[in-house]
Amino acid sequence: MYQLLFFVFAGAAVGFAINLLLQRHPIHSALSLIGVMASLASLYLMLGAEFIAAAQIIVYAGAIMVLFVFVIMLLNAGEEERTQRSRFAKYLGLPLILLLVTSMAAVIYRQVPQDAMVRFGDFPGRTADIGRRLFLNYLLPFEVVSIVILVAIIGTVVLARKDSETEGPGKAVVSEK
Amino acid sequence: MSPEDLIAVLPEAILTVVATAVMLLAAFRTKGKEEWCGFVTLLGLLAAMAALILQWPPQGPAFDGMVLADPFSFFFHLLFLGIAILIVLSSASYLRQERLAAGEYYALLLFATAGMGLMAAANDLILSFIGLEISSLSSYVLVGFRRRVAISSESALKYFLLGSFATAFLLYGIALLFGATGTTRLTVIREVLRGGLNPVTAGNSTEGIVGGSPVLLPAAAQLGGEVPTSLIALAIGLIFVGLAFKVSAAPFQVWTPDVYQGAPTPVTAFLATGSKAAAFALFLRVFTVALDGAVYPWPSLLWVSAVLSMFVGNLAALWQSNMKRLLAYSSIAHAGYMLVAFTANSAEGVATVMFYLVAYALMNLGAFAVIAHMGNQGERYVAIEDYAGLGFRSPVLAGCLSVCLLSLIGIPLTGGFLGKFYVFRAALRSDLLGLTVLGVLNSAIAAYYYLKVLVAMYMSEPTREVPAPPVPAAVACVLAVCAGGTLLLGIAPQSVLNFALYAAQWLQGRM
Amino acid sequence: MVPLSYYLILSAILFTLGVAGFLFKRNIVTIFMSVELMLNAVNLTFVALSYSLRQLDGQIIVFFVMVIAAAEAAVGLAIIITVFRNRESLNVDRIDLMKL
Repeated sequence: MYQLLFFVFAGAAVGFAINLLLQRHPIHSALSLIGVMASLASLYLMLGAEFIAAAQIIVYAGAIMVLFVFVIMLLNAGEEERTQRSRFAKYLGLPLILLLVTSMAAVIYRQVPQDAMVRFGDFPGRTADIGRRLFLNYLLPFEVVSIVILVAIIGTVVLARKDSETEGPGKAVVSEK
Repeated sequence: MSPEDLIAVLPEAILTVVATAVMLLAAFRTKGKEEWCGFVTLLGLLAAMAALILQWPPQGPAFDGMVLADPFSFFFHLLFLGIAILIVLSSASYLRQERLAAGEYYALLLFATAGMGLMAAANDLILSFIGLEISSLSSYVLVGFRRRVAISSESALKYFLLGSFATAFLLYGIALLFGATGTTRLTVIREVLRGGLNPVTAGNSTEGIVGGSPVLLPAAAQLGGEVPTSLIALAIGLIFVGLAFKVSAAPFQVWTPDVYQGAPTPVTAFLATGSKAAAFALFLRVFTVALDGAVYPWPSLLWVSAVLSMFVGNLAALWQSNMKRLLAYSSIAHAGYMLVAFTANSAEGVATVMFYLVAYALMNLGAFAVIAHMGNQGERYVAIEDYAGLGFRSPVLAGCLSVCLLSLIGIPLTGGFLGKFYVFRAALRSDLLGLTVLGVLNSAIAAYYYLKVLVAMYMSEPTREVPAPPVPAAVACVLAVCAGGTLLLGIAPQSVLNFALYAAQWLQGRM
Repeated sequence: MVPLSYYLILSAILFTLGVAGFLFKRNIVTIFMSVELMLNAVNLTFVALSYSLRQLDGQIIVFFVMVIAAAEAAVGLAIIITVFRNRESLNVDRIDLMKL
């Protein structure tokens, strides 16, 4: 049963990820990415990480992907054009990627013992424990990560706001005022 | 949280509070707010420096070993704050001329400095990663700060996309290292790799609390029981990719010229000196502390990268006509020289990297201050030919640029010369003869393109009219500090070098 | 029951697909989505390792990575908007004012 569920969700994750690459319209790619995230959330549940599974759905699939979809709509992004890709990607890209995936898989397969099994309910990552650990051992990173968010807010406002008169020389700006 | 814990992060706390205050100030004051913001920012940086004094004598771990307030962190904090002060001084006139929002600019600069401080002080890969992200996100925005200028936003995009790509590699490396050693604490990783601790119990060895519930430890769940070497080699490779990108070492340097060209010139100076120094601080801490006992010989990885960086940087710089691009390629080459010292893998090598970073920061900040001043509105005059005849028009400006360029070449009596000298000495003492020969060869190639600028300044006639506005007092101050500091380091390097050596020995031995 | 290595290999495959997307896609927004895919793959590694080591640290790291990914997404999309305003294009090959 566990095996079946694993292969269903793992297959879904890989399938959605490949679909992300094959789709030419960014909105389809975004939907595929949401599919990957939902599959991963199920896998997190199977690994006993309930809190992370919920956060994955709420934060990733909910907030971050909505932001993506919003920007795609805002910029009215159309289908991807097929332009001449750089020579690097053309000749070196594919071999490099194959090398990367085979070496990583080989190393992991060799080095991770085969008797390290994952069973359902073997390691209940209780949310209360996560909270306690977060606020006792990881207090400093937790506080510091708020600076990241502050920087993101300031940065976004600085970059995306409309022009005011006091600022900015240069090109004429199209504005719907 | 004890007072010692607070003191260990006090400089960062001050920087964060001041950054918020600067933004509020920009929102409320209307008249003369640029000057006020700059002034408050400077005061904040000085206050952070003063707070640093409380960290002396070094007290070691704080926050259960999350942060280390050791001499290494002290050294880099001084360097970052010094760089930030010089950047603020050289930005004021630039911001006014380009009419950019001063409040947000200074706030992001302060946040970036705080992030860099965390990168140097963190003893946990997670905190290092968060610090790295704070400084990176601020830098992405600062690079794109002239958002109406197409090449500025293009630079920001390239920096952002490649930066987040590299970050993902770094994070994957951290994940695999966590899997192999069971912890993200650098000093604990070292104990695990030396065979002193079991990977599975390592995560709980520094702190007793494991979330209240008893930890389940079935024997079958352990990763092999002994340290998996090739998994660690893979982790080292991935971490190397992420960090090499941040220090702009080859073959992960492609972003450097474009980003340096499009960013506002003071921001370029900040990237070339501050971000690079912070990335090297993290690089040194991760590789010499955590991976000290790794079976995988990482110096050979650095060897290849050092040689590639030196050749790519110096050869590509020969063809540049834009000053900012020229210094971008030179920055790649200098990352290569620092990697040479790093490859030596000794306390002396680490100290040399630290000394070199100080010398490099001084000479580069001076050069970029001149470029920012010469650029004029919209950065119109940044080609080498615009510097033709500068030696006659404004001798002082040209003199300061000459000192910086001579130091970048490595002429005796400058900081750059001693930096290179120590680099090659450290390499020779670790029997890296081939690397030393290649490094010396590269210094010879590099002389050509710096001399090209010097020749233009003193021996050629100007081809077009380049305005020469008077030098503002703040910029003059920066130039005096940079030129003076470069010469001082070239004549009396002992105090900086000894302190760097002390910090390096502390890094390798004590903690 | 599934061996732990299956989870890790799945995450390696997803990571590599993200790398492939970064190299081969031409639309900036999709390229950025590929980076998000890579971060998701790393998160899976952390959660799986957290299970095998019987430690919550891995899950807490994932929590931090999520916050940082959200911040990165906000800044990145703002940068994409400025680029679009200046160039009216989302194709990386047309963002070429400076020679690479």
